[in-house]
Amino acid sequence: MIRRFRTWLGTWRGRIEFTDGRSGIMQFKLSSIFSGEAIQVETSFISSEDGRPLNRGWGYLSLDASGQVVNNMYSSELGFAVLKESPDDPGVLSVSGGLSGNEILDVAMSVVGDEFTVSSHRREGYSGHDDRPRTYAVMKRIGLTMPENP
Amino acid sequence: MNATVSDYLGWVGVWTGIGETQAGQPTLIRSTFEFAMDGNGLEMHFEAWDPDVNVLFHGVHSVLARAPSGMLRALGFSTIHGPLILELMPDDAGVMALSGDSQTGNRISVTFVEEAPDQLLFTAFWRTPDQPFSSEATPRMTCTLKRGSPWKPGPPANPRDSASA
Repeated sequence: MIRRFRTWLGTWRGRIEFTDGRSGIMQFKLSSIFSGEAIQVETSFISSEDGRPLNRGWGYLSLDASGQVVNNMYSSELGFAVLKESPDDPGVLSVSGGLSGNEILDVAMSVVGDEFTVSSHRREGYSGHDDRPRTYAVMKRIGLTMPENP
Repeated sequence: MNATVSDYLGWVGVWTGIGETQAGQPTLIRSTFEFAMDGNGLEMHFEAWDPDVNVLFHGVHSVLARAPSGMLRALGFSTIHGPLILELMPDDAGVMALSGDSQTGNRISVTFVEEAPDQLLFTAFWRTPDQPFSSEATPRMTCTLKRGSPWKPGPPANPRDSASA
């Protein structure tokens, strides 16, 4: 787990565009727990206008028996969910899973250099097609860069 | 009435004790409760070590938070069970009873009971999907946890005491 996402650890912050047109500041803090058995992810979203908290989140990235990433997560807006890895390009972590109310949440994350990109899409579960917009955030690392090969 | 995160305000801190694992081994337990997400959640950390503190028998990191439905759930990661989402079961004040299934189908039950000021009784058990439930026969991990506090120097020893010893 930790080998694959070691360079993702740390605190990241940047601007997010929400699906309803609002924008805000998003922060991700990723930390290793139990010697790299899992990664804890704390998220916060605040209004860029008045600094008001918009949403708080918490999650864990870990591996299932087949080596696929499982992301059990909480969001104060969406509730609890278990997202599972879905195929994507190398270097991109895509996870997807059901929310209450028959909705599906898709999240794609990647780190390139000092940029952490997160995009999410909440869609209706029965329909194969749903053109609701995605949220999109690009964050920069706060603090030191993790070396690729220490 | 639904429980709230602030019902557990008094538990914030470090708790330790010596108990027994579900497999019957003696174990040293350290558990912490901290407010998280600006007070919207309760971060809970649990470690059960062998008495020499070399082997971590079981570690759980979790956060108790409110679902949009109003129910409290604990989202966590366990070194034995992997990712978890446990439900807070209705119970008396001073009790946190969490229950749910792991991703592999293990049934898990965890309970903290405030027995006395600065004392919690911790009980937990889990069983695989093929094991029948028997409340009497199912072995449990149990431990009385006491609140830990930083060491403070006591009053200086009386020189006459040491002279007479």
